[in-house]
Amino acid sequence: MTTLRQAGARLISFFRKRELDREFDEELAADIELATQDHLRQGMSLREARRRALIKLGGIEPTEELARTTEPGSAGCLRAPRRLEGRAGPVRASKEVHRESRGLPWLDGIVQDIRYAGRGLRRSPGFTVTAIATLAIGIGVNAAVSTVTKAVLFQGFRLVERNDRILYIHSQKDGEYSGVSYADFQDWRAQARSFDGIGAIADLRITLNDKSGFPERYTATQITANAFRLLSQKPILGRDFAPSDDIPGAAPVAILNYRFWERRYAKDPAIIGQTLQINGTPPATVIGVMPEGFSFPQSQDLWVPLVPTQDLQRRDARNLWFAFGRMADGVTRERARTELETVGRRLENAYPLTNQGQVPQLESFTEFFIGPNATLIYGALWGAAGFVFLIVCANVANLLVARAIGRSREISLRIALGAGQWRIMRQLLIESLVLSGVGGVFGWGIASWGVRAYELATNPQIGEWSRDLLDYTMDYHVLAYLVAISIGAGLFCGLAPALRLSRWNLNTVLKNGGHGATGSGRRKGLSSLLIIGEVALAIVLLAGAGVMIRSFLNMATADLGVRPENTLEMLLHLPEVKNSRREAQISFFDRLKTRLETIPGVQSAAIGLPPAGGIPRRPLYQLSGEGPFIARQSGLTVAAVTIGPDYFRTLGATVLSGREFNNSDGISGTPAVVVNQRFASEHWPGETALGQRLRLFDRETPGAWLTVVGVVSNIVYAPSRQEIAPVVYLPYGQTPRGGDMWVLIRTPIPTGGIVTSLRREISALDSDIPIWLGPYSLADQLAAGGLFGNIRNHTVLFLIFAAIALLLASVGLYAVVAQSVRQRTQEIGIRMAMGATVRDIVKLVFQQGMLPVGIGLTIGLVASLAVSRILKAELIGVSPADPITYIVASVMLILAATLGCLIPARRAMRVDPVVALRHE
Amino acid sequence: MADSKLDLLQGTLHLMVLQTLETMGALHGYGIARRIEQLSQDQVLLNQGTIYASLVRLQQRGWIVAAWGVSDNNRKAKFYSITKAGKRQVKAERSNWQRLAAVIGRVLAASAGGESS
Repeated sequence: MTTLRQAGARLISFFRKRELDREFDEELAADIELATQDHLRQGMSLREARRRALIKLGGIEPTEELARTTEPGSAGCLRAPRRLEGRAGPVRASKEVHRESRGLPWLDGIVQDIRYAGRGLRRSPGFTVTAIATLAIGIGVNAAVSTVTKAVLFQGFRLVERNDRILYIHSQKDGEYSGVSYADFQDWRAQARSFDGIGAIADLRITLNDKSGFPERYTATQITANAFRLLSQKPILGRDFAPSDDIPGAAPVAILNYRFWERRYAKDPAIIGQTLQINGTPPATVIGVMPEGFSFPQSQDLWVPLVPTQDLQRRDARNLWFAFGRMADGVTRERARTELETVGRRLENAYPLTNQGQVPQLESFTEFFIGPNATLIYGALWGAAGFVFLIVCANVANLLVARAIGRSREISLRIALGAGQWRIMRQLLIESLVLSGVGGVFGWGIASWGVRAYELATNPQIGEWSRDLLDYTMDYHVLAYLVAISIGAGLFCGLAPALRLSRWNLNTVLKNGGHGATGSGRRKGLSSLLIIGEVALAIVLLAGAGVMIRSFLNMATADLGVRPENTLEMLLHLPEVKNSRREAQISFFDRLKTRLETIPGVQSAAIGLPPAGGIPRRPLYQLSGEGPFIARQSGLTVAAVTIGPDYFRTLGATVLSGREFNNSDGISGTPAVVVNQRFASEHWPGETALGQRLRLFDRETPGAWLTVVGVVSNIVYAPSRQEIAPVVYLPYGQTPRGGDMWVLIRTPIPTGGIVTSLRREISALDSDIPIWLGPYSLADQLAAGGLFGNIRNHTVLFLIFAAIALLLASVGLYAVVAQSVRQRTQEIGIRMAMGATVRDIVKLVFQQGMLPVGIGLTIGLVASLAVSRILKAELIGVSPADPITYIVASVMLILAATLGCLIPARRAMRVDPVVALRHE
Repeated sequence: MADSKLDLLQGTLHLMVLQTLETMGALHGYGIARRIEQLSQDQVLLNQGTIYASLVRLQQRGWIVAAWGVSDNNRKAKFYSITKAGKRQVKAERSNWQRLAAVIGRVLAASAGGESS
């Protein structure tokens, strides 16, 4: 208790220093006065009385005091006598003792050290700026990457408790996502014991009319009534969905997103109980508003209950997006998986026709929403940032060692004057902590900028979509991380010189004017070690960036068989209810094509699904003339793309024989198909494909026989962009499904210039139909690596990291070699005086510099082989051990290293032996 | 031995200051030092600096409090006085000290006896 009280008092004193000093001055003055009076009474002269009093009160910063009270030149001007001591040890000035016992002397010392470090750093601005900039980059890059990684890997949904206990479930067939069947979902829910509950989600695209304004496009999701409960969320206004809300025949209700409530209804609480018209269905009553910041699973405007319709209840209708469950307490993911797979097998046996091969798949937030390789990719990213950070630390440590050695005389002097080893080490550590602290502040700026840039770069068009999914705010976790790595960097960088200096032999250093500390093998060893590390890390990053660039180039330059320049694409969605009649949908797109082509500058327009770069569905197929055929056993599937007239002309593909689809390929026309060159040459080699017949299957049911009316050049649809696969094209007018279609437009007008015209033409046909996605430039889409692709961004990030690493490694090498040349000036002078040529000297410098580079290079190349295997998942058409990349990376590094050695070598060449020998 | 001064044991100065304040009432720093010197019959000569250090510590522990007042000769001075906690502390330390002193005395007497025999 007393100790605590004292500690508190001391801490307070530390901050009230000036005030307490003044008060003590007064007290001291008063006591000196009292003592003087005493002495006077004993019969001393005034001066003697005063002098004695001052001595008695123990030399209060004595010179100043005495000078004031005694005549100049008198003996009193000397130091306060060191006697009158009640105990052993030197007399210390009262003020000093007082201050020490009053406050926190070590804290005072640290403040002093910080000031001292600040002064020292201001004196060498070149060093300071370099060190701080280096640290800021290292710390900033790390904080930025940790923000992004945290958002992607660890965060999960905002506000939701224990995100890690929620698993996202869908069915997979042959390793491919196949959606979720409502009937399966109900069986999972009824049979799986590992979960507190399972909910399900179906995507719903809506046009909303609440009679308050014009119809608008909004995003809504159908969710099971238990969904919010599983997510531990409650409406802030109104009520949650009740179990009775998601059964067939329930009165339609809706719950609003907070942001939507704010934007469209200005947070009017009276919205509860009002009705909304969604997609022309019976009006839905608003029953609740969710808390601010909550959205699930995307940027939702509102939620409606997932009411199973007749269609939805068919087991083969895998129309749900996903199911999700909260694991019960104590259940491991493994147990949940095993149990659900057992349920899945039971369903397979019970419903072989629909469930054969369907395996329930349980994934984490990251795996489901970001991708199966997310952990790997973002882990690699983090690793790369970590490497940059290590290089930064090594570099700054090197700079500090060099600086400390330059200051060896000053430090030796301080040791000689009685500074303890710990005191010197503390001073050096504080200096590097000051550097890393300032670096951390700038690093925060770099990080915020970097995160912002990353957010914008990761496909701006998905920004809206993922706004609520990925939270890139730099919260206190990131701040804590930044502070931790800043301190870590400071300690790490400062420790190297501190440990070195503490081992000095004082006498040698002072005698040799500082050289004693420098030539030691250990110092060189340490610097070389740091260089080896830097080079090795840099080469790993360079090689990693190299293979990613090659992979990216492979993808970007891959011939997809289309001319994506001057082509736009946008997704249109026809609301189901309104356009349920097939003829209406077909006629809508027919008329749309005609209208769009009247826009000045539009050369042609067409529709297609999937879009270029997308992945087509793969139905089973059969050629006519083949024997009896059992669809499932043959297992032969083919990529099928649904298109409208002028698709190939718009994309810039060539019709090799026959024709494109045209308006005659409608419901009443002969069922037609166009095949690509690969399909034709595989099935009818040496024959003409035109007039041949084939049919596709809708699951088990064969479709009509289709006649080949054209053969087109190959267009690549595979995600890797590398393989040319057989593809068949079906006319939109003859396919039974409708709904979403991508519209392709060939026009030299950029997206921004044409979007208004597009909107106008669409709404002239149907004012309820919004542009769902786009328009995007097709070339941009393909370059980004697909609609949600991120390959380009990852490549750019790796490239930036590698560039930083390369730069830092060469700067680090330069610092070390330059320092060594400076210290060996005398030796170089002697060598030259003894007849060494310029060549010999340059060789000497390079030998010293390049040896660690060579070792680092070797280690780095070996490590790269191991490390870049991680990248394999993201690489297209290039091996992680690509020899060309390795050679280029090595050459670049050697060039950078040469540059680092060149400048000091030139300095060494210019050494004048006479000057150098006098250089003491 | 006569001219050598007594070395103060750690902690004894605190006790002396507290004791002085308890018997004398409020005193200024210089007065405390003088009083201790007098009582020790100049066996102890105090560095005033150590007195101030001791006063700060005692204050921080809450055993004494300080207030500005006017001295005998009409000068402003800082007066220290003992608190209740301080008095409790003196009592505890005094008995401690007496016990210690008694033990030391007995030990020394026994050794002296052994030597002489």
